[in-house]
Amino acid sequence: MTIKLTTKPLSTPLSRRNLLKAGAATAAGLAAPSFFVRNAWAAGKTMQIGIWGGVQGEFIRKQVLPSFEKEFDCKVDAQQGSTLGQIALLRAGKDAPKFTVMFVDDLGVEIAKREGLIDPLPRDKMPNLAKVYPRFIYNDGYGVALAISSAGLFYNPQATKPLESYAELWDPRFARKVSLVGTKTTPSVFTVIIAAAIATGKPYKEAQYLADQAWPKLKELKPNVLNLYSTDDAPLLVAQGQGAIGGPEYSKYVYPYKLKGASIDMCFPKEGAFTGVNCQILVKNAPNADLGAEFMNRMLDPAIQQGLAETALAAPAVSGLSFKPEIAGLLAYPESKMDELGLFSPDWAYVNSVRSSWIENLNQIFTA
Amino acid sequence: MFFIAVFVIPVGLMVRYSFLQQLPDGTLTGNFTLANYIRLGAVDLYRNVVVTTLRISLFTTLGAMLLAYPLALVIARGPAMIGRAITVLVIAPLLVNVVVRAYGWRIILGNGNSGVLNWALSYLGLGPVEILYTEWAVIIGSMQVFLPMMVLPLAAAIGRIDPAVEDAARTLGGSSLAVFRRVTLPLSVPGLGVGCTLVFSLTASSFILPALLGGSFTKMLGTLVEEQILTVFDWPFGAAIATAMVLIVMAINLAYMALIERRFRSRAMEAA
Amino acid sequence: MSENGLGRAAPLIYTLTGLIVLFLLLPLIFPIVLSISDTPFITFPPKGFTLQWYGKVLQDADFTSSFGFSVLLSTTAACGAVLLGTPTAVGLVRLSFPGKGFIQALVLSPLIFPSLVTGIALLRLFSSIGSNDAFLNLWIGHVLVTTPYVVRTVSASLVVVDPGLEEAARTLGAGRFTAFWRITRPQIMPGLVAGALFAFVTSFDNYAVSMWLFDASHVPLPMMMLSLISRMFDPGIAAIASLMIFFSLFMVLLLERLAGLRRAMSF
Repeated sequence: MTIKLTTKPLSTPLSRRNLLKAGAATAAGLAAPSFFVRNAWAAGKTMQIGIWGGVQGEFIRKQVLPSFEKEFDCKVDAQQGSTLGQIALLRAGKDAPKFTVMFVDDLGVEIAKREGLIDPLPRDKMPNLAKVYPRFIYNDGYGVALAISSAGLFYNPQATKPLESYAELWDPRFARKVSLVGTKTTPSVFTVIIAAAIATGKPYKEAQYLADQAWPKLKELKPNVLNLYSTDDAPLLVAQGQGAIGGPEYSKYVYPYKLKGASIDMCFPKEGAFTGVNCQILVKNAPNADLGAEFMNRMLDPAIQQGLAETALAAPAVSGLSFKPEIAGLLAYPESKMDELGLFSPDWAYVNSVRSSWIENLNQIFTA
Repeated sequence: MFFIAVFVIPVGLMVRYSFLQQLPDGTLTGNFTLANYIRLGAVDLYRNVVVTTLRISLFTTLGAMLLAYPLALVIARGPAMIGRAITVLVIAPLLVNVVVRAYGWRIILGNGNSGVLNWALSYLGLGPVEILYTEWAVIIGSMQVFLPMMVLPLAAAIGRIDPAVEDAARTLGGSSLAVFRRVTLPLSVPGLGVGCTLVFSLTASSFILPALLGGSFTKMLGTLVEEQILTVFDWPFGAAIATAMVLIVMAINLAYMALIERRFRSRAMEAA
Repeated sequence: MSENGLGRAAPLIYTLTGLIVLFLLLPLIFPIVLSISDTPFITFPPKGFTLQWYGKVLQDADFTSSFGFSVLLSTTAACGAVLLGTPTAVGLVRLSFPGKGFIQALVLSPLIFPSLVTGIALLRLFSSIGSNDAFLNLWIGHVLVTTPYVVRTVSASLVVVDPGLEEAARTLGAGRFTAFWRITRPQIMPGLVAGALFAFVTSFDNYAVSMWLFDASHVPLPMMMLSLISRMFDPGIAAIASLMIFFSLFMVLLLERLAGLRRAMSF
């Protein structure tokens, strides 16, 4: 927030809502061009938000922000980062919040709410929330989905057939051929749940609480594991023959390679696919919270949702969109198809609380 | 000396963190606790990681030491043009991002036929080797990345040795090896000390190289710190690992510097 | 003095040197080789020849602006580190006071201290004192992690400087600063140059501190690289790597040309 904002006189036409704004001392700007009177309350403001990197971040910066900034005559600084990195930033800046809106994955909504880093979404200022499938509003209205990716295995079609069941990963034909996701990113949680499900024969829903039975099973997997990857280009390495199969990983990191012609595809074994849900949250005591609400509403606009989905090949959160067949085939959309795929979201409140010990266990198993 | 304050604040904050406990809602309690350190000692995973870290750092330092001497000698003693060229070639890689260099190594060491090394070996009719995702890959990568940090101080130290001393020793009939061992080596010890501390410390705390080249099989302390801070969010525990790492690395640095200096100072005396 | 100063072992040393330099350059050669590959992905061996990736990268405004920003940040940080580190090194080497060893260890600790942790500590500090100027915050952070290099290299070259000379100059009427500037500075020049270079390089490559302190309009290069890696699948990424390599070669050659790197380090 620059000094000039707080010293600007209040000379723009004021509605009742704007008067409230004025009371909040983050005042409207004198310099606001008159033809933007409707949004003059936001003129000249600078808002800091945190968004994702990758193609999604690119889309937001190039396709969403410029028109938003123009319409509200404001500036939006969008800092790119990963879910856990963004939460860490919120945490470190808890005493004097700098950010207004953060994009995080569903597990991050749970952490941020638990740690008191966020406020509930302002429903009355976000009419587009009505279009969102109810299942994608999280933690009692503290977070809402923007894009839904499904997680499964990626494989090199020249090296193997798609797997019917995750149990095949333990097959000796995959000796040193499995590129397993590293402990740094969220899908490593799925690894544990898969192993528990295979060991116990129970569905994910129950298996996620039975991690103790996953450890011996994962130990048996070790001879098949080539590496634990920690970079986004892991699918490309498998496509080039470094390993035959890898994951679990979100589709949004795999399909862009497939569309460009790499020898890679995804399979979702019968135990079920996991969801990775990209959400947005409103920072607690955020500066420019109203502008933040407008922005979050814009992100749920059907046109933006369509564009975001087509860019990232991840399903949108709002209902009533339709896609070209070649893209539709890669999306878990609409809602009926999500149910078909058996999309599963872990109980993050539980998983987040045990994640530290899960990582410790994974490290113990896979560190030579 | 009030500059010291600038260093003390962050380090102090960090050490304080390491004695705190974190509640589930992410707040830190003000109570002093040793729990983080006890956990560090009690779980065998962390002991293993310490051993791995030290082993990798030690091999890297030794390797860099061996590789650095010829370069430093040429820079300091070779003909001007060659010395200059080598200096440029040694410094240039330093400016290249570590991630980029790690990617380079990954291309070279890649397992299977997509790796340059294996591709070359198969031409020679030699079997494929699996280096990537092992400790060796981390050592090779670290050696390349940190070698300049060893060469430059070493070259500076050798440059300060009066060539007349070496010539005198040669005139007295010493073989090249003997001259090197009894004159050049002992007199270059200050530079060697700097180089060793830099290389050892940097290797021990790196986290990008082990992640990219070690394939996460090779966990090092730096990786663990990163994981605790960025993935698990247990900052106090991360701080405890970091503090322990600093203490261990510092102790080792001091110990071997003392060792090297005592050993070679006495030689230098002899030689003089 | 023998002709090349290396004695009879010269051929052996040259051979070794050649091999080692090759080892140093190896991981830098391959990105260049791959960057001209006319394939939609990075593949080895490369196929075809194209310069399109360079064009693409050079038109990427994100890349060019963060490149410029990094050069600025690292240069100023290196200057700060030299200004801060040199007096510290002089104090540490020249003065004797209780707890000197401890202070010495402390000053060097950021070198080993995972800068990830230093980064958080700084972010919390800046956030609690309300310092929101990203450039200033980054600068302080970078000076902090780079100063130890200067302290270390300057100390090493100070150890062999005879303090008697400076005292002699002062007896002859030179002020404290003049004596340092005229007598000691030229002698520790190699250490200074090496320290400044290390500082620049470390700052230029720093990720762990920057990731906590950057904001959307101040993105240092390593952060940008990581974000590019995750959205660029083609050999453009190798082109970026190659550009960095060419840039560093150019910088070093320039430095050599202007200051005479080897002479500055008094080899």
